[in-house]
Amino acid sequence: MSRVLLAGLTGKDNDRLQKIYEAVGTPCEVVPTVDGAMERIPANPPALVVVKYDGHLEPIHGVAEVLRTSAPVTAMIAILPDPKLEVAVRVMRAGAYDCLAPTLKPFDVLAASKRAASQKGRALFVAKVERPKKRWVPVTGILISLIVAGNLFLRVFYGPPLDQISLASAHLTGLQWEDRLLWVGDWFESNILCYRVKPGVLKRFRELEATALYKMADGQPMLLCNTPSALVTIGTDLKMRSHQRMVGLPTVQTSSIPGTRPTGLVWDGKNVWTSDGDENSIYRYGEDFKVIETVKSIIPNPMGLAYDKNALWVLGGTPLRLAKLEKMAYGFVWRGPYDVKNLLIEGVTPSGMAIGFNRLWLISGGYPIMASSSLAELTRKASGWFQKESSKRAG
Amino acid sequence: MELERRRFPRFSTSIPVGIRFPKGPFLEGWGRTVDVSAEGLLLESRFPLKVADVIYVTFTLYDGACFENLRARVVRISYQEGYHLAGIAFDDVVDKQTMRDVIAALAVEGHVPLS
Repeated sequence: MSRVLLAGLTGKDNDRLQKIYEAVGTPCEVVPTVDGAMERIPANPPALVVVKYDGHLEPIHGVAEVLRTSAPVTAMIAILPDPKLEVAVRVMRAGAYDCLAPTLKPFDVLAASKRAASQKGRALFVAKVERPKKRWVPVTGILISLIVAGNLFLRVFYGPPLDQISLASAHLTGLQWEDRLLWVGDWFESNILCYRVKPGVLKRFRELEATALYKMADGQPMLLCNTPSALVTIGTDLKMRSHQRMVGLPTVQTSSIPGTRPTGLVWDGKNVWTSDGDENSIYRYGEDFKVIETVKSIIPNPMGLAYDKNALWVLGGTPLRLAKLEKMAYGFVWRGPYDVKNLLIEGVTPSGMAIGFNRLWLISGGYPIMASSSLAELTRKASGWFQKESSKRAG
Repeated sequence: MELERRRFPRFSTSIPVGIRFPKGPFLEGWGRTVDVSAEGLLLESRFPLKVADVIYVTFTLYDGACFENLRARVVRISYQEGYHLAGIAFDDVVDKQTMRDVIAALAVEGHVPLS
């Protein structure tokens, strides 16, 4: 039976090669030294000799000479320490049919062995040598699954907080979500608080933690919104102020606002908007806090204003309803209204409204709980009209 | 009877060949000639070769005539159980006259068996 003689290899290489050859049913004989192999070959010629090249060509020449004289139909391949062209060519010129280098891949070992033996007219094994198929599908599938699972985990980990949160104060007005930050005004304490939603796998771990507290020196905040350049508030004195975000909230700019009952203040990415509960109007302001546009609210007595996904949301009326104001090229379009039920205690008026995490969040004066409801569920069905409303531009 | 259409005769010989790849996953490799002519050679190698690849081959004939880093192009490829059989043609920069003379001399002396 055809066998392979492994000569002068290290224990690790011997084990590896033995496994590879045994997988195709070819027995191996291990000889620790090349000199031992040179004695063994004439006694019982193998089909193939695998010799370790240790930097000296003499052993290769020696084995080649023994093969030429005593075993002319035995082939030799050499194992190189490194895949170097010059070394490989020298060793092959010395008598090896081919050279292999670490790592000894089964495919390369079997291909070289079979070919070397067949060039001498010997069949070492009959199994066809085939390149192992690349496992793209499983690897790609695993990668995609990991990405999807990671994405899902991150979405859960950085998900919304509990649907109802206690903010531990009954004097809160004005709400604004800014990604995972929540800005809240406390008119009684003249404070503006910034909370951050803690990440967590479970909703109950995703609590609010206070990250900043600003004390207003010159007013009591009724409404607030954060803009890239300043923190904007409307105080109980019905003045709109922009503040530097630093201790004492120094006022940068002050302006009067139209109407007598401001109920909402938002930033749409370019302009500040306010709503007034008595005037039934929504106002857009320029950089100098001058009103540049007025939109009549389709909901009577607006009680809150929020901005989300390129649309203004207005809350108001009795019973409480929500409407969406979208800006189109030709003017403004109202969508809705949508009924808002069971979010607050019966008869309690909301004193703050915000949209964040695709939910509507409401807070009421005298009640320290911030409650929320899914915006998708709230707006599933409009409860009335669909109307286009043109705006009146100032000046 | 099949007509020989080649301009130069081929000689069967199994000589170790060093291969350098200007691009690809390997920088260098090795193989053996199956036959040689003044125009090119048929090479067997475990290193991947593709048609139109440019490679540089180094080999030494039995009389010691050494050809180093001859620029060549792979013109055809077949595959047999882990070995690429590549027909490669030397580029025009190779001194084919010298090579023809060397190979012809070796063939006459019996170092290179005729195919």
